[in-house]
Amino acid sequence: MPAAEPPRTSALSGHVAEGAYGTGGGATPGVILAERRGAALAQINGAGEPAGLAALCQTLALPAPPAPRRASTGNGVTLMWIGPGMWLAEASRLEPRALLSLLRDALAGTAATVTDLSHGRTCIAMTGHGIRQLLAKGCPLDAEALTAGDCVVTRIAQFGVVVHLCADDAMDVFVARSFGLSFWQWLGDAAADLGYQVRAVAAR
Amino acid sequence: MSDQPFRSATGGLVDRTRPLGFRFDGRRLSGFAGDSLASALLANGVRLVGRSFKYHRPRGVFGLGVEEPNALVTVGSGARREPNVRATQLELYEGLVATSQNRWPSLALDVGAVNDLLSPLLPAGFYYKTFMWPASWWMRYERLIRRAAGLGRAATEADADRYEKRYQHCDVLVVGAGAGGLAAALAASRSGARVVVVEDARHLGGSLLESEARIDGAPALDWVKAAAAELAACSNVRVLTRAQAFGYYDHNLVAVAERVADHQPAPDPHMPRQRLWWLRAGNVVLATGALERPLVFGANDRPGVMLASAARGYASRYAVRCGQRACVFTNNDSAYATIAALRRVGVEVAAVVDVRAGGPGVAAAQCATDAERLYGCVATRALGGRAVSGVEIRHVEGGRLAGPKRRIDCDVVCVSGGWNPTVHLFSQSGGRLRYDETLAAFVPGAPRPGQHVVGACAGTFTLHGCLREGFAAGVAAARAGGFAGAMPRLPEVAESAAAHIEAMWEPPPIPRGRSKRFIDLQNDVTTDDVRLAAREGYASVEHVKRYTTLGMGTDQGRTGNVNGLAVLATALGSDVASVGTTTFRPPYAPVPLGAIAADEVGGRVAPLRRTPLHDWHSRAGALWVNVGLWQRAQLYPRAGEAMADAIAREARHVRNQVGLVDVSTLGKIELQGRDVAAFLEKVYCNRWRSLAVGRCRYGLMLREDGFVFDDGTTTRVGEHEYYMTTTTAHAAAVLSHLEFYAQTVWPALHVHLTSVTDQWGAMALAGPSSRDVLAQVVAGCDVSAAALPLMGFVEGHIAGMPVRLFRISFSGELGYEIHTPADFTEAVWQVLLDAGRPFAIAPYGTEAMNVLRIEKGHVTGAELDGRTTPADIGLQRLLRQEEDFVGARSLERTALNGAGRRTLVGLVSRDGARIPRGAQLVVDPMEPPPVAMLGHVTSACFSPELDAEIALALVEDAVRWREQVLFAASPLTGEHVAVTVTDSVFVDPEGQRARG
Repeated sequence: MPAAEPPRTSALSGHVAEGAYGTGGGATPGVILAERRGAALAQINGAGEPAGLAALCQTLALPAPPAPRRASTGNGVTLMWIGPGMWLAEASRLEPRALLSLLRDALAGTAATVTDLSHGRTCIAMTGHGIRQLLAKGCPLDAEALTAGDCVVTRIAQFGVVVHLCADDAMDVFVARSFGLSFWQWLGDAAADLGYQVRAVAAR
Repeated sequence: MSDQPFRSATGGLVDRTRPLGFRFDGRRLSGFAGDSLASALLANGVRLVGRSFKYHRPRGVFGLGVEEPNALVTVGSGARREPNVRATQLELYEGLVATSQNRWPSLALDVGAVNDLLSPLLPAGFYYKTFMWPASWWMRYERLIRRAAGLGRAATEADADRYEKRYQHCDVLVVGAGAGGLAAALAASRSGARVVVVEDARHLGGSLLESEARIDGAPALDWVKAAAAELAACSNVRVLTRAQAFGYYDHNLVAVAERVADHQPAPDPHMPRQRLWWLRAGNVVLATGALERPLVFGANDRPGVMLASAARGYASRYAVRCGQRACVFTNNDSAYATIAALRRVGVEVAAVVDVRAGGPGVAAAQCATDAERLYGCVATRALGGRAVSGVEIRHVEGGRLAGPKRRIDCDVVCVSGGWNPTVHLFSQSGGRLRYDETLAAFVPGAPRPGQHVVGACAGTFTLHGCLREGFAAGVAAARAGGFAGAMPRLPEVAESAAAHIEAMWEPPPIPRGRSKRFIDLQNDVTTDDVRLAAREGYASVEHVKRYTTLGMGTDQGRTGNVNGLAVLATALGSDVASVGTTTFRPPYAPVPLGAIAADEVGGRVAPLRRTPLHDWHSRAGALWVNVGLWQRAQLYPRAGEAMADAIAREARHVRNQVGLVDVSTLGKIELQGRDVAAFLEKVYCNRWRSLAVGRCRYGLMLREDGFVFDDGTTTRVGEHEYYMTTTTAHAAAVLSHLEFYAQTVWPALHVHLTSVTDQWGAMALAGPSSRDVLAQVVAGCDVSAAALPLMGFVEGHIAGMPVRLFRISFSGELGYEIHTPADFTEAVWQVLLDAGRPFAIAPYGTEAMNVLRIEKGHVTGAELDGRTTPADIGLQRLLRQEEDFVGARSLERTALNGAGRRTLVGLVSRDGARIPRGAQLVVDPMEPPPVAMLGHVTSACFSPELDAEIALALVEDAVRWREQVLFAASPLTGEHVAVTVTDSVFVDPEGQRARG
């Protein structure tokens, strides 16, 4: 097996132009948009029973796996609850196969299974004071009520998404890769009246 | 520019330092910042603003805001032309261009006005009665009627503006920011609850904007300003002005259209024109106020007849005189406030005509005026043509007109027939209305859960009462959301009791009186129309509405409805409470369709789904085809090449050399668990337990009714890991079908399903040279015929990128499906194209792929149309016998077996004519109908391999027709093509090529 993973071509490759866009109402842009590229992502299924939960917690050094609608990070892996017994695991510093092995080894012997989705999602990192307003333009949930660490499976406009509020003014949105560019274009339109900046590399 | 002769030098909320130029019907006029188009027109002395809907009668400004039935104008031009804009709500801006409607050639001289002279021939239901026969003529009538119908013309270009949606949640939503609404918002906000205030007008304050009342010893406006400032400073309060709450749905979901840029001469390109808010509230306070009701009398539609509250509003808010000499006609005390307001801007009030023999209450009676007071009198008729010039007055005694006619010269008639609480939103929410005899109006009954109704909307017409109810509702609404707030101190309000209203629905009849008495100004409905409907047997208010058009249009009977109901009740010998009211439905006021569609227009109606190779196809000049939400490369035509030629070339190339096609849109599902094989045997109709690791198999999935649902391949990737592909079209449906069975029918089976459609890009490499191409680039696995036989699977690498190789053939040629993680797909595709250059590799699109599969007799959605069984498509041999699977029992049904089933066959055109897809198969197309239809064409194409037009078809009794001639008849396109019925596999029936 080759030593290093070859470069990846994301759904947004060639479509991200850095710069400031939209109305220049304030000195700071309402939102900063960037694609988080190259992260490892895996879906854990059927880890709802005690053995699976214990294995996950031990590997990721978490006291407990995140509760419904919550996410938490341990050992460089963010676990996002996406359904009963189901989590999305994301690691920005691991290669996909490393994350897959880590989780599969941890869960070996339990009923849980792990599926690699590293190439299956486009992740947009949004920061800024306007992220909740931006979310409220497409998502029927109460954007103002979300707190840091919340993670919801919902929709934005017509896109099925997983939204992770990483901090009070930072949000990761995961969308199916095939919708990645359409979602990116929607974001650009929706953020125009807030003023937005596009960066090639996400801050985190 | 004119000098606004009807504007007084001081007063009002307009900014006299900022004059604004505008045009009305080409005339250059000027107003001030803060004006509405209506107030600016009145300031310039423009009285005639439109022609009525049916009779083309001259009409003027009648109301002050949303209740305006007459002053509808067209604003803007080109793509931004918008008809039927209420001039009373349109904020003036520099360069505004408005034109009047429903007139030709001009507003002053209108040919359509002949309808008014012909009006005795145009009663209610005229169209229904006149154009019923002969029925065949309807098509001719319709064109003329349609041309005459409607008011303004909509723009025909695409909307040039942007719109957006916004979702907002709150603890307390206050609709309407008059006295009650502001009080509720203040009380709720002080508790810390999240509050949203929605106000239709530009300013907060509602009727306090023109009120004479004093709150805590200061003008009411000061209290409004203090309240607005307090709310603006609260971080837990959002105030939306220029925002119309137009729909109230279940669970306190309220839709609001915010006019973000309608008042701006040059909209900011980054701002939406309107924003549609979906507000989800814990509690809703309805403080929507009330709208004044007109009085009905002869020719009460003349320009100059207007609501008393409107005349008061123009004087107070805009310092505009609606005329020079006014007559006030009322049945209640509220109109007396208009007298002072008019006097302040310099309008002479000639007379007050009060229906009540006893006149008004004490306070109203004491208002300073030298106007003549005519109590126990009614106006019977307005005089004048394009503007009112006077009004005829009579005494009423014992329900009859008495005494001589009196004429009062005036150019404004201010009418007030009482107030209708704005109960529309309450009613939309499911609240029941109650007719209040004292107020002579419909008022809300018991509020819905989480709902509070305050102020004039609840039938409370004292300022003190509005404030008290508002504060109480604000506190209660916040408490319901868990926010404890104290009842604010009620300010001191000086006001005295008003005398009761005396309902007067129309003056007693005048012998030989010819003047029309209008109820619904917008739809030209008169008292006679309503009485005619009653005479003709329309007793239900809903029927009368549809027969007479009373309360229809953009106006929805905001001013006229109760008067109409009362006239109907009288005609039926009933009362208003029994007659009831029509249903209130959203929207309360017109909302642009653009705002409802928001950003989901044009290409954004549905989001586009792209494969990882999208940009490559684009650079290669592919033609696109939409498949569901996906966009796929249909073909890659060369310069000057016809479509058909390109498709044939691409297909031929696969048969002779090697081609590469993007199949990333296939649905892909990863199945993991100890019981996957057992699960597959239940959901597929064929055998799965015997499948070894490293092998794949074609699978046929049935619905419970036995018909084929989907097909695809499933590969055993590991001991407990399988990889399933589905058709592009059914990807999502198959996943939910499988999830349903895994979760609810066989939950004991250890099976986990995950969609990996987006994780993997996929391409098919097909053609005699495909193995040679693959062997050059693949590493870490053996792709020789022995190591990777047909239906074999290996994993390897191409240029360091992991790939899954499946020896599968859809084309019938030696072929492979190559799946690779999506971010590597374009690179792998390029490596294959580079490596394939010596073998003349070429990409092919979905059209050539379709040709290849038709030649091979492979079925797709065209054949698997939900009506075919495995036997119908020749796959009976796949079925596991004596074992159960989804659909097995249904296959035993008589109808799915034996004669009469249509089964899959091939067709070859006998004379080279194209076989129409969807054509019916018949023995003799010239036979007079009914013609027996033996089957139909499912897929058709030109076959480069056979150099013939071929097709797949489903036909009854296929054995009988084998090698016979039938006709593919398409009456729709006027074609019938002679075809020979053949086997469904045209190319390589033994399947040697794929095995090679």
